[in-house]
Amino acid sequence: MTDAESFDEYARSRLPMLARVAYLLTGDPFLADDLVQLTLLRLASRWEQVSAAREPDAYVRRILYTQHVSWWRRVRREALPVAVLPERAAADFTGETVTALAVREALARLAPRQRAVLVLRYFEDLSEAETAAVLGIAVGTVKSQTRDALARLRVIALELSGSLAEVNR
Amino acid sequence: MSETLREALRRAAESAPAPRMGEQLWRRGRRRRRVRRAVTGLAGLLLVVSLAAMPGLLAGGAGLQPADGRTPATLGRPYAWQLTYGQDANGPVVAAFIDPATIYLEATGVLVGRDGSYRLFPMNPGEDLGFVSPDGRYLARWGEIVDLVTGRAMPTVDRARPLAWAPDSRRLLLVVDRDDGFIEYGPNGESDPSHPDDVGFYDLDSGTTTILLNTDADTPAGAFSPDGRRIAVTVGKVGEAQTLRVIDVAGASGISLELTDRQRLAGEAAWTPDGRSVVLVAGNGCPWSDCEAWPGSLQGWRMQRVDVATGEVADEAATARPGFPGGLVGWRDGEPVFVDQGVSPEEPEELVVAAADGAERVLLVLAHGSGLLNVPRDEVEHGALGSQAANPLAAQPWVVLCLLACLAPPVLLLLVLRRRRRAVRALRGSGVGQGAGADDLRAEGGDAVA
Repeated sequence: MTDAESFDEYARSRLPMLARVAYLLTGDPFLADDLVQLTLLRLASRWEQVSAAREPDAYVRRILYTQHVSWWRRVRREALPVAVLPERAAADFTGETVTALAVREALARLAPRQRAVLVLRYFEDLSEAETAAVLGIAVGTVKSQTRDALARLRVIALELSGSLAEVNR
Repeated sequence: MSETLREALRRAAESAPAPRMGEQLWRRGRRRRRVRRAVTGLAGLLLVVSLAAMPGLLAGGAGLQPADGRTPATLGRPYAWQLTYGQDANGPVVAAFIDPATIYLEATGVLVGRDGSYRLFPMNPGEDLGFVSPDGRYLARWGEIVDLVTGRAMPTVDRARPLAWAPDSRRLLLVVDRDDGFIEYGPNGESDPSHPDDVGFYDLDSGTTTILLNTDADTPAGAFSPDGRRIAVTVGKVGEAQTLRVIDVAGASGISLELTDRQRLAGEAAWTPDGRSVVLVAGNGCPWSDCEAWPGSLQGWRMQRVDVATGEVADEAATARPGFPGGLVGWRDGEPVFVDQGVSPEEPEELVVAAADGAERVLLVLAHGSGLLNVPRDEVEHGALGSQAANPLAAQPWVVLCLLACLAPPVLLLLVLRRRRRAVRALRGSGVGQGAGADDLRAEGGDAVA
C-alpha cells in the first residue's frame, strides 16, 4: 500500500469522529469542516513521520485541538463564505435535542481551551492526564479549566444545571 | 454521574456536518511539505550566508603572530561592528590607525587600548585622525583635543592644525590656519590669503594658546625638543621652498635654514635625544611632494642631522634606505624609529628601527588594509609593543540585536520541535489515541464515509 493509499484509508476511517469533535469545538458546521480539512492537510504533509510512529490518532487529535485554539485566536467568529453548504443531520425535536442545542450554544460561549477540555473529557472520555497530554498543558490546568468550564456552563445553560451539579460532585 | 453531559455532547455532535474528504488532500499535503522543507532549507542557507558574510567573523580580524624577540608584533584590523570610543572609551591607547572596512563606509579611526581593546573613532569624510600624545591619553585633532580616557573633547583654537606633542603630553604645537581652505574673504581678514598663519602651542594645563610665529605655513611640520623648551618647525607657502625654523617657547629665535624640495623635517620626534640636532629626511629621485603622490618613484632616502647651534647639515652614512618614511616617531635605545608606509599599496605599514648601518629592524606590523599608523611616543621608546587583535564580541548594541534576530528563529524552531517531540512521546506514553477513532465511531453509531 502506498503512502497516499494508507493516508486515504486512515482519513476516511477517522473522518466522522473528527467532524463531530470539530463541530463541538467550533459550534459552527462551516468552521468545523474547515478545521477538519486543515487537520487532514497537515496530517498529509507529515504522514510519513506520523504513520511511522504508529500513533496517528494521537497526532491527529493534537493537531485538531491545538489548531482549533490557535486558529480561533486568528479568525474568531468571522463569516467564512463557502460555495456549497455542508449537509446537516436532521433534528428530531425531542427533549434530548433541546438539551443538545443548549449544550452546543453554551459550548460556543466558552473559551476555546475550556471547550476543548470538556470535549476531551466528556465526549472523548479521556482522563485528565490524557487531556493534559493532548493539549500540552499541565494536569492541574486541565482540572482548573474543567472546573471553570462547568461553572460557566452551569450559569449559561440552565437545562444542564442538574447534570452539571452531578458532574461537579 | 456525568452521563447527562456526555449524552448532551453526543446529541450535540450529531448535528455535525456530514464529513467529506477534501479534494486532493494528499497532493495538497505533499505540496505543503515541499514548501515547508524549501523554506526551512532557505532559512538555514540564509543563516549560514549571513554569518559568513559578516566580515572577518569566520576568518578572524587578522592573522596574528605572537610577539617575541625575533618576530615582529602585529596589529590586527578591527571588526566592522566594533564599539566606538564614545560608547566605551579605552584610553590611554597604545596605537591608533585608520581602517576603511567598517560600518561607517569611510576611513575610520581605530584606537587600541592598553588592555588590547579596539574602539572605532568615526570621522567625517576627509578628516584626519590626528596625533596621539606621547602618553597615549590625548588625541590632537583639528581644532580640538580628545581625552581618550573620558571621551571628552576640548576645543583648542578654531582652525588649528596640530603638528606635534611636547614629550610631557601637556603642550601641543599647532598652526592656526589663516589663509587656506576658504573661499570667502571677510572684513576681519581671517580669509585673506595675504594674512600669514600663526604657529604656536596650546597648553593643556592653562587652556591657553601662545603664538610664536606669524608666518605662512601651508605644509607645516614641527617637533618639540626633548626638554620641551624649543621647537623646530618648517614653514613656507605651498609649492615654494620651506624653511626650518628653530625657536624657543619663550619666543627667542634660533637658526633658520632653507630646505630643498627633497628635504623635510623627519617627524614629531625629529629632535635627537641629546637635543643638539634636528633630523631631516632627504629623498632620492623625486621631490617629496611628488614622492608622496607616487611613492614608487622614491629611490631610497637618508637622514640628515641639522646642528641647531650652527645650522650645519650632516648626512648619515646610509645613502639609500628602503621603504617610505612616514615619520620619525621616537628613539628606541638611541636609534630612530620610523613608520615605514611602504612604497606600494600592497606593503603593510611597519614600525621600524632605522639602524645606523642602513638596515631596518621591524618592531610592529600593521595588518594589510589599515594605514596611517600612529604609536604614542612613550610606547615607541619604552613600550613592549606586543601583538594586538580585535575582539569580535566588543560589538555595538545593534550588532547584538541583529545577531539575535538572525539566531532567534532557528533556535525557536529547535525549541518548538523539541517540545513537540516531547509531547508526542508523552502522548505515546499516556496511550492517548490508542483504540480511538474507528472504535469510537462504532460506539457513536457514526456515519459511513462517502
